[in-house]
Amino acid sequence: MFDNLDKINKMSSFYFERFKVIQGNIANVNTPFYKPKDLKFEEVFKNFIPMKLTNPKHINPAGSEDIKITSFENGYITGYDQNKVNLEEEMAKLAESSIMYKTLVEVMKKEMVKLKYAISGK
Amino acid sequence: MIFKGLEVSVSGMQAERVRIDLSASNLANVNSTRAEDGQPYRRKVPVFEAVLDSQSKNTPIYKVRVKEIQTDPSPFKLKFDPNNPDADQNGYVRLPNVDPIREMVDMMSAMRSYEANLTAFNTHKDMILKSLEIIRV
Repeated sequence: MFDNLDKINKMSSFYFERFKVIQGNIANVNTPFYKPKDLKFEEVFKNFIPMKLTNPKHINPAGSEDIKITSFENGYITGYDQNKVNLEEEMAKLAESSIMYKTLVEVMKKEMVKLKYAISGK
Repeated sequence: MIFKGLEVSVSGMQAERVRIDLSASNLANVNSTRAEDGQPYRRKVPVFEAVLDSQSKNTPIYKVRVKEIQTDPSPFKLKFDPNNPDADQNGYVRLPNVDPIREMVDMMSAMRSYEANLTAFNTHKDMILKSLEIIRV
């Protein structure tokens, strides 16, 4: 019954976590030798969009139930202090994460309205 | 913890504020020929350090803190001013190794970084407030 809510919940908490990691990158924009961190969200589409098998030869996309969050480092040297944070990129990621989060909260609200409608019948 | 991100941005703002404060102190002392040790004033620079937040288990969230405040070892500027009481026997006065233009540029850079952290802080706050809307359905 709460399957959709559970999936949306997992996705939104991923974006919240990613937002915090990017906040850390922005805080360390002047720290020597700092490498920016990021999170990956590999299983998101497998979990969120349930695909139907129309042909038995198709590969079943149903992955693991839990969403994997892996962290990785990226970036390139931008200054003499070996700091690899690209502020423009980080600000863009920050906006992306927050918009995704807010969108998912809206989706969650819609799910709640649907549930409420089903329970009360009006 | 939901407010962790706010703390991270605050640590960034605090660090940048230290940078601005030190730049202001350097600028104020651009002509100080006698510091507490009798030598001319030496330029001060902060050294930042990334600190892994121990409470975040899976996600690598780094705060920033000012590890130490170092003094710039570069040589003093010399100015020919024989009437100055601090002049040596050749008539030269040693002035602090502070370059006002450099300090202004540093201050601008610190200000922009501070604003970036402030933007992140405000966005995080909006997200927390947004999640409160779920219970209003």
